[in-house]
Amino acid sequence: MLFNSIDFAIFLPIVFLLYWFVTNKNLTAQNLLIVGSSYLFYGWWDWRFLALIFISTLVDYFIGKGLGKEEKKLNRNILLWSSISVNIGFLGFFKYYNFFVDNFITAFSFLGAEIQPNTLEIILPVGISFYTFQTLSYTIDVYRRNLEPTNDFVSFMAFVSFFPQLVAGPIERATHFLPQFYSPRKFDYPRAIDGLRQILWGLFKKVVIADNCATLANEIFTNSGELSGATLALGALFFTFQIYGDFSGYSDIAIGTSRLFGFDLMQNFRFPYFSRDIAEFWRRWHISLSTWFRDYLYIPLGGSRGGTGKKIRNTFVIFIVSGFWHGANWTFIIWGALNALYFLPLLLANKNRNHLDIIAKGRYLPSSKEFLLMISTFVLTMVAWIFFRAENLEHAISYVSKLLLAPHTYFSLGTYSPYSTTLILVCFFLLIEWLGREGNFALSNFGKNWNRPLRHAFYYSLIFMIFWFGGKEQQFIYFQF
Amino acid sequence: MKKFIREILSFFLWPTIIGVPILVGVGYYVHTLDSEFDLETDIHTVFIGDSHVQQGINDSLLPHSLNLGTSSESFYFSYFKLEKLLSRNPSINKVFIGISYHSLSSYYDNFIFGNKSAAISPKYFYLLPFSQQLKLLSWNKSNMVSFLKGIGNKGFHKVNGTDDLLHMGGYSSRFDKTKAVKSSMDKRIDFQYYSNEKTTDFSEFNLHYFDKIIELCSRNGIEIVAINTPLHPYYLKQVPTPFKNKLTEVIQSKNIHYIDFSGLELSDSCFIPDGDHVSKLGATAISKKLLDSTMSISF
Repeated sequence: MLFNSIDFAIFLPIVFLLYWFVTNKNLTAQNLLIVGSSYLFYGWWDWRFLALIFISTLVDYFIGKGLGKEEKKLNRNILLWSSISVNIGFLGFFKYYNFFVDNFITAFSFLGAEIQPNTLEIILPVGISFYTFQTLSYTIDVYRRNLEPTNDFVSFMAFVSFFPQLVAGPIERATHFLPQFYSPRKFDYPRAIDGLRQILWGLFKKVVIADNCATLANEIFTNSGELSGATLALGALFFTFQIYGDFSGYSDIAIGTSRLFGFDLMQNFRFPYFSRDIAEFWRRWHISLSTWFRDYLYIPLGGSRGGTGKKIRNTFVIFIVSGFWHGANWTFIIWGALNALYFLPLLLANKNRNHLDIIAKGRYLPSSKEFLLMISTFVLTMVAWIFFRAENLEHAISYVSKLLLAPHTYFSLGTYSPYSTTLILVCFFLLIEWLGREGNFALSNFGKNWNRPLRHAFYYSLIFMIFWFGGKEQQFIYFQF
Repeated sequence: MKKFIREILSFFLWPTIIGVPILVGVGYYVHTLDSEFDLETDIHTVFIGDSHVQQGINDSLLPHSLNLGTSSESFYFSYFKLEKLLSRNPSINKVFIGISYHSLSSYYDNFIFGNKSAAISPKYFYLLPFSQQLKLLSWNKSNMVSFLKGIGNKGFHKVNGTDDLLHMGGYSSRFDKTKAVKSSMDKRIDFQYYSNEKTTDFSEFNLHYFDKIIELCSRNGIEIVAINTPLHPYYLKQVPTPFKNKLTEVIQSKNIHYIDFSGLELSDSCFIPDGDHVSKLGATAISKKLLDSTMSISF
């Protein structure tokens, strides 16, 4: 079920009313309702893969219990690695099997060996990378004794399958999220209203910005061989806003929906395109994944401690793994490596924590230096997104080459005018994001102090824009990851 | 919680109280703006159908005739369009309805219920009776935003007098000096007759409305002629046999006059790349052929 569908618009109020009016007196019943509605939500897409979620839940629940009882290090390690093997095994099979087979065949063919391809027609279960990482976080935290194993199977099921964030995150940490299922929830009016505002802004980002940019970005990337350098730059720009609108829009809807049910999810995006360097960008983009890799991969590898060689190695490992997490394609790996290259100079010069606060805090406008830093970071990010979006490496390289090495085509903006409406929408979106950048999401503070008619008029305008400028309903990009 | 529910209801209540009557009123008003259905009194023959008819019949060569074929028009929409035309134009005494193998395929349902509907259905919305408008809304719930946007746009342009009248169709072809291309024909065949590498089902819904069109004409004493426009021999060969058999069965069971040009020998330049439609040259050839006295058709 998509957040931007009529099905969800019917589903959400029904679950909300049942949650607060029918099951509100019994915590287990509330959690059971969450499990039931989450399985329905997921099964709406493909019920066959519900078994996968259930098996993953079952395995980690019992391994967690085992870890709670077991004191011997060897046995604890065996339990931990069993969980990792099962979860990563599912992920590896469904997501990476064909990629590895294809690449082995290519590698062996270089050596002159002919191997018959044995790829399978595998459907990638929606959201597998997200819930796999979430359940893994539970097992690892229990293993590290940061968290007591749960004895409440219903709460654990609800934690794994919680529908607002099941298919595209934020990837919650068990230490933060699981305890929320143990305690009774009280309806909190300001929190629920704030949640609705976040849902509204998320829908705007997805339906108005991402879907409209998607139409143009798809057209330009598909026909990149025939288009001018300027148009390709525009294509990269549209994709840059598409992916942000799409994914952060999803996160906003997920967080807002969770707040309606009395849950707090972690912030997943903090205005990343206003970053002044790549290190800041990565503190603001897909925060739940970046911090997951930081806590469970980067720090165990030694993090930024140790010699320069180790720092370089760890940086490349985390960025490349992060790229590979997005999909079984070399384009994602190169995208990750490129970001590592952007990040490394800052780390080695010990300047990776220069910009911790939001840009121009307490001011309307940035200084000229801040502005230049922001634009240059944005351009670097945009170039990296080309690799992320391209069909394959060849496509990405030809796209970037044409963009950078064909200056004579730079000013032939012949196809500019049909894109103007989308560009105006993007400018409006950036303006609101800029004005609201000191909050958790753009609308959390923006317009909050206006009088009621004006505030409501603004919300009605956003709703109108969602209907009027709404592109064709599109799948969220991150569902495929 | 009560405050929350009250707030939500009041937020949506005001626009609903104000908006719904306005929308219904405007919708009704737009529904009445249908003067385009009043044809010249000397028009006795109309051609109805999809792009095969639209691009295949050059009505300027056929006296007292009007081509009202529209791209991707299913029998469902043709029925309501024809119903309106016949009720307003007593001068019409003959209807040509385009039918071909693809018209039977369930891929056409996509233009009414499926993912292509939001691009097609809104242009017909205001000519439908209220009960059908409600059905169309419910069928398009998965593309509701685009669908409502389409209706809004159409309504706005109708009120504004700037409607493109795409629902009325009319002879149109931008294909000059073209010829059929094998890869395009393969693609077209795949699109129209196959889904997930299996032959598509027949569209029972569309066939039901084909029956209703025949009934409608019979009820009004109108002569109906089914016409199958030419197909490129390569394309025709690729049409799955079940579709060929089904069309024969449908036509034979209805006992109506049927002109089958699908196998008509035409030069390559009479087709456009998909082999499924004729070019300008092809349209001229068919229209002249229709005038041929041996066809025993009067215009």
